[in-house]
Amino acid sequence: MTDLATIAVPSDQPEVDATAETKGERTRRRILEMAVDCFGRRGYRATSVSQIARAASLTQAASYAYFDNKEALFRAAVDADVSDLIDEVSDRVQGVPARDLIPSVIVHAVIALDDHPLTHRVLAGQEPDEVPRLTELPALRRFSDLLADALTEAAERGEVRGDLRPEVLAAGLESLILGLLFSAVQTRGSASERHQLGVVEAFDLMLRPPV
Amino acid sequence: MAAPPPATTHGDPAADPALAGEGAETKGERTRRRLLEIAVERFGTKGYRGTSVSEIAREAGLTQAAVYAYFDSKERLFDAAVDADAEAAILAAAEGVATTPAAQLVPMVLVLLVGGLGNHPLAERVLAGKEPDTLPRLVNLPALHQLRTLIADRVRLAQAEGEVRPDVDPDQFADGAEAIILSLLMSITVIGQATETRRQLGVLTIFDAALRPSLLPALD
Repeated sequence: MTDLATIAVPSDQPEVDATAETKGERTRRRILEMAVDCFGRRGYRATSVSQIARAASLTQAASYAYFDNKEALFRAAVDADVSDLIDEVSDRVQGVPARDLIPSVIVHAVIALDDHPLTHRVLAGQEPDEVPRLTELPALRRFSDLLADALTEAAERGEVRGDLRPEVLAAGLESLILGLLFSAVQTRGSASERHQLGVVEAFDLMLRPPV
Repeated sequence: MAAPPPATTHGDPAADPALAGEGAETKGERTRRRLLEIAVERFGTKGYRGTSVSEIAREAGLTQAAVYAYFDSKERLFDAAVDADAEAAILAAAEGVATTPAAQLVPMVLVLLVGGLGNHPLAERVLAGKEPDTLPRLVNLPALHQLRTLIADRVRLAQAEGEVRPDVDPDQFADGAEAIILSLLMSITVIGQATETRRQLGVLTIFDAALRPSLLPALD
């Protein structure tokens, strides 16, 4: 499923067993799960660290051993939720031809947002103070890397153009995907069919070799 | 339904006062324009909720009732102000790309729009999601459609000159570009995304890739 825990463990955490999850990791993951749930339902302001700690059967003080403050916990929760969503979308687009990949990612991401209220909240602009940090999310960087890998493989198969550096293409596509998701949520999906077809064509043009 | 202000319309009294005259600006048009300017400024600073029609009327030297002769409701006035401010922002960007090569047109429009938003506080407010009820209207903004036409025309022209690949449908590309420009503008305003070099270079590259007539020299 997801390698959420591996992503979430910061480098300054006590030693990590390469295979089995340590007790500390388990606790950390449990706190994050509760945080995703609580923040997703009630938002940043209406959620307290003590509520999350209680839900994870910990004291508030114990939770601060894992996350320095509420902000750090929120950001880790958003990262975990986005990361989960990316994993789900990656699973669903397995086997999709490279040239349909980006529109397919967007469609599946929009659907998956229903099950990720925390990510939805952030994209809907309901957490304005935290939104500017979105671009720094490790999950997005990982998404960009996944895209670059997919493009490299597709270029080797001759399905997409091979004259551009995959990581540069991926960074541009990642920006566009994030922007389109953002506006889809903000405008409540009011894009016309003309716009949707145009976007599909534009993505295809970006990837298909010129004739 | 409010009656049009006297002294402005010559024909159909139900007509929009701004449409009454042809050629030179009539007094009614001037008043309407002045109202919009004030509305853009007020709504842009204090938002829809924080602004009253009566304060806009007062600044324009009109009674509140006189304002309603031009705009049926506060909502209509607000919508018209958003359209006017967005149009001004888009027209300024369109002027700035007069000599930009087709392949760089979309990223350049974006750069100019983002850079110009400081002069268009109401458009910026809406894009930043501070007037959530208005956001869905943005998709159908007339000025955005003008921008789309400009992109389609420029791509078609460049295509005829061999600067854009032949397998591009300029109209469909322009539809996509319009949607992408609006979405990036929103996300840049709120998140500041794509302001990083990595993302800027990426966006520049993919639009260039979409239109460029030939492959670049092979990578090693």
